[in-house]
Amino acid sequence: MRGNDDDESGTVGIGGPRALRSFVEDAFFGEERPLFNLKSKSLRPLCRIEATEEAVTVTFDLPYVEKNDISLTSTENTLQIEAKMRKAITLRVGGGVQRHVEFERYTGIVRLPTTVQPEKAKATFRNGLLRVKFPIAKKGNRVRIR
Amino acid sequence: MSRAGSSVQITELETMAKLSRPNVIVGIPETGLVGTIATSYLVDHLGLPEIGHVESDLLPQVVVVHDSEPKDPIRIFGKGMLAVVVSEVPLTAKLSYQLASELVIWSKAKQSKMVIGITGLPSEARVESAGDSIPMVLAVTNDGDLRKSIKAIGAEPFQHGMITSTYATLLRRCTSLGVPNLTLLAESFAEFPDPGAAAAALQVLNKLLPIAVDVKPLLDGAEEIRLGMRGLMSQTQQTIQQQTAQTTPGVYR
Repeated sequence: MRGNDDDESGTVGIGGPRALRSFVEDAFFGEERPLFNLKSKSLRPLCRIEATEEAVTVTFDLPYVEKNDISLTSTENTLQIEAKMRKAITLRVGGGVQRHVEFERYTGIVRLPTTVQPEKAKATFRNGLLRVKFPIAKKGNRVRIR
Repeated sequence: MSRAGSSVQITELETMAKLSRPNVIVGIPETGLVGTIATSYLVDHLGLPEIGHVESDLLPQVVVVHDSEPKDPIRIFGKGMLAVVVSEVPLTAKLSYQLASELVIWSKAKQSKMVIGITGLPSEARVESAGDSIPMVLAVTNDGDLRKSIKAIGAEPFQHGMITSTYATLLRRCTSLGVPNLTLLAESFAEFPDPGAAAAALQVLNKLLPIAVDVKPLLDGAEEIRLGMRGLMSQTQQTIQQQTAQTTPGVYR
């Protein structure tokens, strides 16, 4: 699904042939959208959060990332990610006249839906998908019903 | 083509006249962007020319300029016995219904052999295996003969469940107007663009239609597509979340 005139310089098109490049990131996801940070030239990864009674699992989509280039930091309520891409990728951004911006990494911080045990987190990374699973912290006082 | 009471019109270019009883393949941004990725790739791979587009006051008021040329967000490509409808914007509920209805009326007027919808089906197994699992493609059709050969084309019959939004209206309207419909649902990630699921759906299409689409470049370029379609995926997720509460009967939530 190439079709970008800048392919040789490592530019990524939006997918599809030239006529079919999706413009949504450009047109609707202008600079005010939080999908990327222009100041730090980083992308916010797409993320999925699932919570069961026992665990919270956060999944990140991280194309162009290798396992050893990921750094994770967590607290009881947040998960922070930094991941370097194996090559700089140029995307077109901007709501009006577009410009090319080179991105080299992903950064993001996720607020977890409940309090977890960060020291017991387990992470796996395969095919560019990072999954981090936290057991939920068992806290609170039992309330007796009389 | 334009009808009173509808705010969706299909504008045809002269080249559309060359269509001959086409199979109409529809790709709308929904689960895993499977439909959009599959149909975009199909258009690109087969080099299908643009033959029309959709106009509607329900579309965002945006013109996108690529290489000095303004483009519409929902376009129709095709030649001969194949027409491919590709949307690059997620659809609101009203636009989704009206677009699906108009596409079926248009397909009938073109004496379409079949309307084929391609989309994704959220799969936990696919997420848990980080995409290693081979996506199963489920199929549902209103055509009795085709229903008997679903396994022969490499799909599994969709036994019980519910199809929602654009693809549901396409199927319903096809049934009421007597147009054969096949809806392919490839197991996919829900929140991330899933080129692997799109490839699985295209492989089913390869067995159904006289096309020979090599999906290897699609799979090889998966990272590029995943990165390039993040914006559309994010926007689609927001649209789906807004609509799920409005359109899904409580018993199915």
